Amino acid sequence: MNHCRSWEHDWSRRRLLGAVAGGVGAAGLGGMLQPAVAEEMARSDKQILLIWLDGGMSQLESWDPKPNTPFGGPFRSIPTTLPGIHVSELMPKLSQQMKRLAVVRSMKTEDANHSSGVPKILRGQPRNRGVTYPYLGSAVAKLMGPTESGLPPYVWVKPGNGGFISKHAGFLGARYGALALGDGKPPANLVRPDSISSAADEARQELRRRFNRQFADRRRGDFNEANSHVYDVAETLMKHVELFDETKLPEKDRRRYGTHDLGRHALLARRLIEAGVRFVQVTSYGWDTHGDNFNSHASRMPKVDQSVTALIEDLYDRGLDERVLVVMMAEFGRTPRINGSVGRDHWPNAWSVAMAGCGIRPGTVVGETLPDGTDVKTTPYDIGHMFHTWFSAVGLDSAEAQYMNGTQPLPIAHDDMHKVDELLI
Amino acid sequence: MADPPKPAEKKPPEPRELFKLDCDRQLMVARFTACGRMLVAGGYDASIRRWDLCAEETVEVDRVAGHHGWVSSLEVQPGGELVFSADTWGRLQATRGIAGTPEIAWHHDQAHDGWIRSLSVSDDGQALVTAGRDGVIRVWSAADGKLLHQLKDHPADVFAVAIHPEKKEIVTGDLFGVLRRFALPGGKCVSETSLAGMHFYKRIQDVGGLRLLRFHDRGRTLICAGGEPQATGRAIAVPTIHWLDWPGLKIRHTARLGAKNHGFVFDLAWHPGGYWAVVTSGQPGSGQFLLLKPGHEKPFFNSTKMSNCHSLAVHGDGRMVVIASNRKSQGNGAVRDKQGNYVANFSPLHVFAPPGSEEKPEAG
Repeated sequence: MNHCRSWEHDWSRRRLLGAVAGGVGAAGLGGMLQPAVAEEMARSDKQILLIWLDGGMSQLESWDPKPNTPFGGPFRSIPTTLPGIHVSELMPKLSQQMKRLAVVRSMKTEDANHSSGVPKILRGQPRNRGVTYPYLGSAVAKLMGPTESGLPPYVWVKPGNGGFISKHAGFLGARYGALALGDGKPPANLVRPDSISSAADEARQELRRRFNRQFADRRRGDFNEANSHVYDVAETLMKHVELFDETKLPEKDRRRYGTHDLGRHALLARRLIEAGVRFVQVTSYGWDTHGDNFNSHASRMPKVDQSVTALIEDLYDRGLDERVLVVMMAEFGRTPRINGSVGRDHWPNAWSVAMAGCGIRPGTVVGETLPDGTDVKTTPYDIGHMFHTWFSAVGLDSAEAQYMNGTQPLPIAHDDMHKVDELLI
Repeated sequence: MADPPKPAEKKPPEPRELFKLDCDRQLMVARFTACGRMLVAGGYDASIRRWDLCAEETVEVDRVAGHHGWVSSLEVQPGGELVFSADTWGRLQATRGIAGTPEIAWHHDQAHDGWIRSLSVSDDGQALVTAGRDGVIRVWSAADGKLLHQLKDHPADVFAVAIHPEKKEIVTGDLFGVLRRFALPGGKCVSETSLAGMHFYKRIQDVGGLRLLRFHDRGRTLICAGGEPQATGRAIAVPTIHWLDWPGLKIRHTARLGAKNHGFVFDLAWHPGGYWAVVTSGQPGSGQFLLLKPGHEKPFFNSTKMSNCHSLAVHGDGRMVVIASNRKSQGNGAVRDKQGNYVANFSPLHVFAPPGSEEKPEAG
């Protein structure tokens, strides 16, 4: 079952304002970084691209195959470019990228439910201090801000509808929410129609600003800040409408990434990264394979294999691997046990996360599971360890940096956890 | 004045469960040997399991090794002594003497590159055809495993294949619900038709519903079975069987056998009593054992007592029907047994005396 219905949001102005109002309560109170950290990070050119396989990809049909074991499934494993390391035969292209990747096979998290597991993983599940932490994208938007491009710092490319998803921002306040591009499409009416002259458009904008000032006089300053932020986002995007024109993309690129949703969205993500978006999340839905797991993965994995490989190749070919961190994960893995429906259920006990690029030691496999995949054999890592690692990879000292929620200092990742040095350069 | 009471309709005879056999692993396919003495099955443990039905007490005897991946297909040679089995790692194997001391007559470790999706034996037992996830169809000599024909670059992922009784054509069913007739030799595609309801696409996943092909009625009828999928990620589909004219590929009759939680037809076989025996598997815990008369849309018998039925075997003379089901089903997280062990599912084998059969199995 899907945990999130936020694609039902639309891009009308009324909807945008509603979304902002819903998450604005803490804006202005919370989310201030320590000033020195904020200045340093604003100068950084590091970026992050998260590929989120919503519902839970099977580790056994991807990064951690266990062929010919009681829970191994029908597929073979294949060698990779990393000696001694095998992955599922469903990833022939990614198997050739292993020298560029780092995989953690010893993920062990707590929550086996989608509705609570997704936000816990995407927030890094910090210790409970009575505040709602931001999702990774919002955290990065706050911690690092927009790049010099001025583009929105957190863009979410997803199937379905788009909108401004303020709830991802948690206590940071609405302006750090996600700009969601439904099906990779820009907000409707982004470009000024030819029938409206530039002068007429400016007159309209001035009228809007006047109404907004009247509107703002009766409301809190934090609300106004978030409200005007949404208009700023739209205005910035108007300068980059070419990003959304798929017809101008080379046919070769479209074929390499795939013409399916994930391929199209991964290609857009690369272009958004190139244009300077600080954090891009690409979501693929429908990975909750409680039934027909193997046919499902046989259909899905080649598309992941194709589009993620194209993405990694492009990042390396363009030298972007030194500044872009790529992460591929879900809220958990899938059970070793194969149920009667020939499916696999939810499994946070021993699963895998993959990453590449900026700050990450390429050709690394961290951790090991038991021979039958039923538990982690080596040191288990939680999502908090990954947050520390990823922040470190992009140059942020997560042991020192703090959010300031009013006068309350808050760690940016779980304070009982630490970065995984093996994963870092 | 009230209508006179109608005479009570005679309830058709129903199968009776005779006993149950244990199997500690999940099974994908079960069949009776040609002699009827042995039940053989393949599943997730890369072996061929055997149960001697003529022993004083039905017991499982030594397994036949050789396979590496899941044994996904297993068929008995009509009028012969061989049993053909195929696995998900590409091995095709013929075993002789399966009811006694089995020996591997021939094998190909790489008959296909990976999962052999379907295996079908000609009516005369002289040829078999296999379809792989590698997009290749191959026809083999049953006697010695010699490759007779091959069709490379099938236009889409093949899920099912069957060879016509006259051995001049084969038919394939693919992920998208498309049926194709290929002439032998040469492998030219003669005609095709789409059963569009047997395919569903959403969220980068194609769900294929056309999973079984069988010729019947001396090759005048083609049976396409599986389901009409309604969702991805879960086995949500309406179990469906189409009967088509051959060679016209025109649908003559369709039976939809349950609600969308019932999933797919996993196996079916003709019973000499004049009806089809069918099993379905859908959502966890949802299984059906159905008996269906030709031309009927509703089964005259339907049992939902067995969980997720994955295969059925009809004894040669019809006296027994065996259903391979599934137990323990599902659970998120590390659901363990009372001893604290994380255990796999398994497949009990339910042995039935079908309508009109003798009550006691006296196979052999």
